[in-house]
Amino acid sequence: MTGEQIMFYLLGGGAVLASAAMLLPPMGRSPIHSAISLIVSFFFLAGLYALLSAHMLSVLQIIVYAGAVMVLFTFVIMLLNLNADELQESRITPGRIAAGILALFVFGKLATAIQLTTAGAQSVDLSDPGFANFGSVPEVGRMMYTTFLVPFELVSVLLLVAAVGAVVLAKRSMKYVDRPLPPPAGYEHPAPSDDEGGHDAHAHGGGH
Amino acid sequence: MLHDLALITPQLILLIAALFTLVADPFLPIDASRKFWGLFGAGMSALAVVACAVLWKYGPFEMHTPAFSYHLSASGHALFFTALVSMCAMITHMSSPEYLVEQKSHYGEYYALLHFATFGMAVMVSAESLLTLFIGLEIMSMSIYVLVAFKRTSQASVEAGLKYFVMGSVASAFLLYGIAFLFGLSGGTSFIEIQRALLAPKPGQDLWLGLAVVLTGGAFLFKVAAVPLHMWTPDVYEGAPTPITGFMSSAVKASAFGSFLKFLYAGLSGPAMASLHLPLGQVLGLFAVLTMTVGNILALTQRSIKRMLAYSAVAHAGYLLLGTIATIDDPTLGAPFLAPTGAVPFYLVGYALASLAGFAALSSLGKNGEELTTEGHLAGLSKRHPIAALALTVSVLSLAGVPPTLGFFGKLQILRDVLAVENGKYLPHVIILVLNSVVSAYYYLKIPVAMYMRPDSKANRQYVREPSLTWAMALPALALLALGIMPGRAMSWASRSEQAIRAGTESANVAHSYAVVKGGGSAKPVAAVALEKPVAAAPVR
Amino acid sequence: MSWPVKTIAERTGDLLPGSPWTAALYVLLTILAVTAFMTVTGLVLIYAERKIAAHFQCRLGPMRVGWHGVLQTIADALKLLLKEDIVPRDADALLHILAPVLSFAGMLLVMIALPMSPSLQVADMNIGVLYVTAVSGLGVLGILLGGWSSNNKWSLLGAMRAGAQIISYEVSATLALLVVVLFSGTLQLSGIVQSQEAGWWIWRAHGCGIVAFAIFLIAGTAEINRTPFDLAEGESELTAGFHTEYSGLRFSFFFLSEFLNMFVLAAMTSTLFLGGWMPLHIGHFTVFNGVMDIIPPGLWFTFKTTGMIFLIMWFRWTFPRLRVDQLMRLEWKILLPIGFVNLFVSAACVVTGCYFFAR
Repeated sequence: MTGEQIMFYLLGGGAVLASAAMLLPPMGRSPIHSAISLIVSFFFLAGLYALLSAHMLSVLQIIVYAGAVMVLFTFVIMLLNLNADELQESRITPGRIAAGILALFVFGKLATAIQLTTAGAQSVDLSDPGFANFGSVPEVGRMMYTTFLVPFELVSVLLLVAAVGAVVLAKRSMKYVDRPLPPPAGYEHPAPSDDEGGHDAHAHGGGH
Repeated sequence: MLHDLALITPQLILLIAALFTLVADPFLPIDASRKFWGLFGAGMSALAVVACAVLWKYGPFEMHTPAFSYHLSASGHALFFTALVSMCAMITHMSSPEYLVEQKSHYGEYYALLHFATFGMAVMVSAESLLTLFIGLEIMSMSIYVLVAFKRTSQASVEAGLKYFVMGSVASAFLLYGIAFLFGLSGGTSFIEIQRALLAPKPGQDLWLGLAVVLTGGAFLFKVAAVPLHMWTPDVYEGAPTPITGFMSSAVKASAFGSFLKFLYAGLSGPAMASLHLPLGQVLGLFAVLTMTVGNILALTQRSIKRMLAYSAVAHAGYLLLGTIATIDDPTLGAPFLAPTGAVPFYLVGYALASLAGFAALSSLGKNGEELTTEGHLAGLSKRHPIAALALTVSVLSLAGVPPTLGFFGKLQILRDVLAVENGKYLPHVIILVLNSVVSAYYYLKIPVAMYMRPDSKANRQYVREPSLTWAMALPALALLALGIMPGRAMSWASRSEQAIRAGTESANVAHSYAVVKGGGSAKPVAAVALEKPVAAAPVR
Repeated sequence: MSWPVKTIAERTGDLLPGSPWTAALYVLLTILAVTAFMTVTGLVLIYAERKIAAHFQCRLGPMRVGWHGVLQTIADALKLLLKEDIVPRDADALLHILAPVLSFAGMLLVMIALPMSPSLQVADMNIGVLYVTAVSGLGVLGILLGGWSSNNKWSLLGAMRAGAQIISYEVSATLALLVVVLFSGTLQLSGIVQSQEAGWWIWRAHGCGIVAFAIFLIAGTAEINRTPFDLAEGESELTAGFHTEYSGLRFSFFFLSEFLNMFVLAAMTSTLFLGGWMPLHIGHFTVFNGVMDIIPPGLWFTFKTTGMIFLIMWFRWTFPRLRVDQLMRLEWKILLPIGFVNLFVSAACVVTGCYFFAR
């Protein structure tokens, strides 16, 4: 076994173990422990990417997933602070058994497919000069701004939509100004902004 | 670069409209924003339709730079569907303002998100690569999730949004997983690369391809609300703001089918599919029959009109799926051999117009945060709001497929095409479709009966009458009648749209392995014959 | 004058084919040296902070233990080590123990990439800047977990504040850092240092450099939770914030990593904006540059880093602590827009070659 293979099995095994720990007790019983296992799994994955010479991807995996996404994850889990009786005890139901069988079936298919594919595959020597820039930041950047320019720009629209949507949905105290109602008959002064003021104060109070 | 940008003018118009709305809305006084954004949105969408028409007239054009040509196209198919969804957006923009004001959720972001959704659809239907298709789909879905939950004071609306979001995300994940397999198989994301790669079989290809087909197919079936992935439809359609329900049942369905057709033609074709031994046509037929039957039966029992129309949308997804079989005919053989009649795009036009008219009419019912859209509320509508009653009647007649409307011709086209496949191989499916139409007529006709024959009651007098809303229901209804009387033009557009995908597919395929024998329904693709003999090694690239 | 960079990792690599055991020993020694360096730096920094704080307040600070109190910190460290290590009864024991380690590990991993002189750098990655951004994210995880696992409301509040604050300010810090990446055209830390041979980016990139420097320093100070951004442990409101429930060795881990974070920030700032170990050069003024080259690069790095550390300590006694809303406003409404505009302008400058001594 070469050093690279040893590293692969170490990292891959670590990723699998961490993922398993995410789901199974004792770690899987508490959401926060699951989240931590997921982070560990991400780190192993980042290591695998680095092994594949995809340095940029590897670091992005850590910055984006382990750094940003998972911190938000843990943040939310901590704020919700679910206790044991809110988290239903996982029971074995027929649906779950069916899902498990299906998952095993798909896994079997994938394993077969991988085996069939690798049978005739040739290994690529990444130290070959043709791969000098493989996975490097300039190369990824070049691809992004040439061949994949359109999807790259589209993703920015997607992110914008997500941000706008999140703000729209989350900003519950967004003040709704209704159409001014005509004053009731026999009422001299148009309604002073008593109600309006209350609304305002509420909007401010809720905003922070 | 500029040349290619000019070719995506419709998409750019929609995007600019969205961004402008987003930026300008805070500076607009509230009263002005209520009057302005609906008209602005309708205008910009109309402009996008015009841009499509211009490109259509002087086209077809080819993209020049690889950055664009790998990912987007301005083919007839793309333009047809972009125009269709922009038209849907236009009507939705017209019908929205009054409804939102009455439901106390008028915010400028609504219009921006509507533009974004339309933009996403336009990108999705003009995608030349799976990457763009997926991102377009996500832009659309994200916007729609938020729009569904836009009535934040209504629990049903928020619940619908959340439900749709969770389920839709799972579907997206499946699609992405399938796309990943296709990418792994072919080393590229654009349809042309995939087609080329599938020409030369690799070890293990069948398994990968099978998984990819199942996963992506599942995601598309979810998006078009086919049974058994239709569970979200009734709740989401009922909870969403009514104009958005109309938008979903017209534009979302149209774009989903548009990209599904493209995907079936361009992504999953060629000899690789033939060796897969997956009778795609029969599988789709099974889903189609299941979908239309379940949809219609469940629609029978509904009291709420929105819910009923939701199930009817499921049923129509079934009809459309059956039409898809006719247009792709038998992809297991890898080549289309029927003359492209454009049954599915044509049907979609009729269906979209009918949904828009119907839901615009429903948008006018109810005031002060209340929606009055059950069957009982419709009683005597013809006296209170004759235009709404008329529009709704035309709409349901078209949905039921009654002759002078466009819906009739759409259904006829699908029936004809499906029957032509392999000399009536799908005859049982067609019979079921006809039976389903008869069943559906029952619940559709309940609506005009209630509106015209039941006495008016005082409790139902809450409705909105406003010019742009009235036009929003009148225009599609008029179009349904006009196109129903003269369907020839729309039919030729639809068939040109379908020809465009085929042309694209063939230009990639034909050069490599097989020529297509055109002619009657009994013609066989050369590839099918050739497969029995060893095929000459296909030159790749 | 050229500056050939030879990292410790490279030297180990050279040794590997001939004598693997020597290489292994080399690695072991490196690990020991880094750990020792960090401990000593931490002790020195704590002593410096106490003295500087005292003198800012016209006090003397520690004076009793050793000459001018130099042994005071060592005595305190010994005391901490001997204290009982408490895990609260209802705390999440596993995470409670893991949190300070994570916090420390993040900082330790950054240390590996710091270029202290051409010959003193453990590893020189071609994506060094990204690497530093990535692993320094571990610190926030440690703080969050520590606060949550203590099962104490003050801890949780402190951790939440720290999490929100660090994630927010990371955006600005990264934007400022990208300005330097744009100008130097590399992500490699030694490459960034060498790109400043004609002058440090803080002045060579005229306006952009100074703005980016200011943003990076402010955002960095916020990221390491130092005053005026120390809401996470605002003692007037939250007792001690996220480490309220920590004692003994584990507390000292948090404490040490806090001070060493300051060192890392100062070192990164000087590397990115003040030329790192690169002596003060001005374009082609060969004579001046030659004179400056007499001072060895390691000393330059030390001077710059010390200066930056002093500046950060100075902040503490100059600015009052911000409120949470002010903190968020500063980031999202002030620093971030400026950062974006600055990045845009820098890109324009780089493309047009509009900076001092552009080749």
